[in-house]
Amino acid sequence: MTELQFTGTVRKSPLGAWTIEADGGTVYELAQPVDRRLLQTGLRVKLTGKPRPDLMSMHMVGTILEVVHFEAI
Amino acid sequence: MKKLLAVCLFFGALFWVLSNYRGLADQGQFSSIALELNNNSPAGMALLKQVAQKYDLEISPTSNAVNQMNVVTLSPNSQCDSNKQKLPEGTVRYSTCTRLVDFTNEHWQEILTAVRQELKEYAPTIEPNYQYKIDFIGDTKPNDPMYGKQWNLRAINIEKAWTRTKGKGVTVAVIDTGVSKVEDLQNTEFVEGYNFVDNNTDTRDDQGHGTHVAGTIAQSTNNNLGVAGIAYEAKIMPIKVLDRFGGGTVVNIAKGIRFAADKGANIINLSLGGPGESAILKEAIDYAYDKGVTIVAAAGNSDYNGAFYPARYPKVIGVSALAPSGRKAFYSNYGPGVDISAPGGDMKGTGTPEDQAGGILQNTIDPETGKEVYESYQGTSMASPHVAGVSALIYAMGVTKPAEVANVLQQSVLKVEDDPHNYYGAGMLDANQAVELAGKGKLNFFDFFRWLRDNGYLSPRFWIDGGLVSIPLKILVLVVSYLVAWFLQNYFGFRWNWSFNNGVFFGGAGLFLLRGFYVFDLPQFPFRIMGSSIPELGNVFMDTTALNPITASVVIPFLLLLFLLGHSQWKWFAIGSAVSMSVYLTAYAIFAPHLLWITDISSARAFLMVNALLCLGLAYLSAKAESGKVY
Repeated sequence: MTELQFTGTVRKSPLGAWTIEADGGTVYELAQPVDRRLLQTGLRVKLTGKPRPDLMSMHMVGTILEVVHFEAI
Repeated sequence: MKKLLAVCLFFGALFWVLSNYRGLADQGQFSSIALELNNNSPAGMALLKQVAQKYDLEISPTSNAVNQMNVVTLSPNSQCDSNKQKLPEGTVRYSTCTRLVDFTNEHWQEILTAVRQELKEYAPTIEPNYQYKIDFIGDTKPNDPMYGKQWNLRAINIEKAWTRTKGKGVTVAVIDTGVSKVEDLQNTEFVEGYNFVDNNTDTRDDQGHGTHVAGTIAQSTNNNLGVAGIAYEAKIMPIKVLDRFGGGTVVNIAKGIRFAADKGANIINLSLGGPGESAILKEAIDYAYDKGVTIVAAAGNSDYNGAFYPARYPKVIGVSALAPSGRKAFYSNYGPGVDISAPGGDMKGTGTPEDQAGGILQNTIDPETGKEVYESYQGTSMASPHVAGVSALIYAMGVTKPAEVANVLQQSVLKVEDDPHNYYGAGMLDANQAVELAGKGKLNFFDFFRWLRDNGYLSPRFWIDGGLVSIPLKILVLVVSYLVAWFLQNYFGFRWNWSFNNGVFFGGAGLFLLRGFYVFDLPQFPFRIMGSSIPELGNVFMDTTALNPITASVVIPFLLLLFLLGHSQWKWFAIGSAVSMSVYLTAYAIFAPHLLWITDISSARAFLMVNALLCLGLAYLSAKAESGKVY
């Protein structure tokens, strides 16, 4: 699947999953392991990621996104 | 007046005793003998030592306090029991100092007799040191200390369900992050699973999620430790497909499902998912389903309209999560693909005890430290194992096909009337209704056992004092009445209820043990009346076993039905009594056709048979007319 680029906010879901909510409203679960610098609730980032429909998780909060690149904004 | 009061008190006490008698639940077993020795007699002590040696026993003072009274116990020699093995049926085999001895109940009886014989001069009291063990039969709280915090188990009505089954003989595959055998899973049976993440057989959990899920399904229960689980006599098959972060590939999940189906799992729990469909996963699900495996999955935690996959597939039972309030939990997905709802917890995440109380508490591991913890989790991941656990109970009741299990689950729910968005699927999970529905149409030993117990037939008094009545015939009548009642119940689909039960009982048997009672200074006729079944009432005062044709006929059931049919509860008593009277009259027509006034055997037989048929017809017609209104 093609890579996505968007800006969004990193959050830890109430059930414990690290997610990123794109400004458009879509929530992705961050594929783990991921750069720990990204894991800060409220962090605003510009992010490039690859959706991974071949993965599932126990968190079940949204499509899993493999982070290719990010920068804090 | 005093006599009347005495009679009332006596009956009150009697009924209290009968209704509280727990029947065969108490089984006295002993694995040591207690003796009280005469004043430290040296000769007695010497003889005791000889006897102990002969039977490879060890003499020990029971405790300091008791020791002052010269009470000692004889138990298998513990210095030589390094090879102590547990054998089936409560036998313990000891490698004693000289030989291998099986301490069976018979062997203990033998020792007891010998010890009594040899030591009678020195020890006035020699008794088996009973260890009372009461099996947990359900309908009451288990003794797990933190059970009180498990609102989720009470919400699904689990205690009543346990009276029928605890899931014995069923295997539930937990396809998850693995399952660690934490302390409160020690009594839970495991079968070998597989680790598809690392491709080996080490299925221990490095995340905590899978162990928590397995705990909800089958946490060791009534073990004086921790918390309870739903189908705790079921076996867990741990299959690891998710890594320590809780993620996994669709390929491995599909492999896990196929593995479970091939290795004999009956139920699969999938507390995992994602929004996207997958052909590989769907094929694996079809494969397992066709092999007769019931598959349960979590709907997802994004408060999204539509269950995630695999819960969304029609062959998977998709489960949404409930808060303690009984409303949909804030995170739970809903809408298409949600088939049923179950407790999943609702916590804000503040970490306060009040907040934690809203979660699902099980024994698991802390992923950071690997140490065992009792932790509250929330999620549809927690709701799904509730349904998987109850599915195991349904399976244990004999309903095994996945479509039928799903059907029972969905028909037995507590319905939610106003549910426009399909938050709850068919409704809220109810374990007791589910096992009851699953047991319908199947002759359940437990029903019969409970019936016997409830009516005092398991009371020792019944067996000791019942000698004046023809017990085998009574038993026959009861058993057959029960069978006929069971047929009617399943044929018409009405519910087994208290009144019906009592009708069957009084029509066919009465509290017949009471007939043999004789209590000094109490008038006897009340016992005889109470102890009579309906057909026998006519000969109560005549001191004869020949039946009175007026009471031993269709007349009383007919009158009962005539007067009671308008009453919602008592009509079942009337129908029940007609059923068992029909059986009673048939039994007496065959085995004991003795009637007052009709001395000719064949006429008596004919009379009884005709009336039996009339009673049955009456029961049939009334049950048919009434059943539609009840169920």
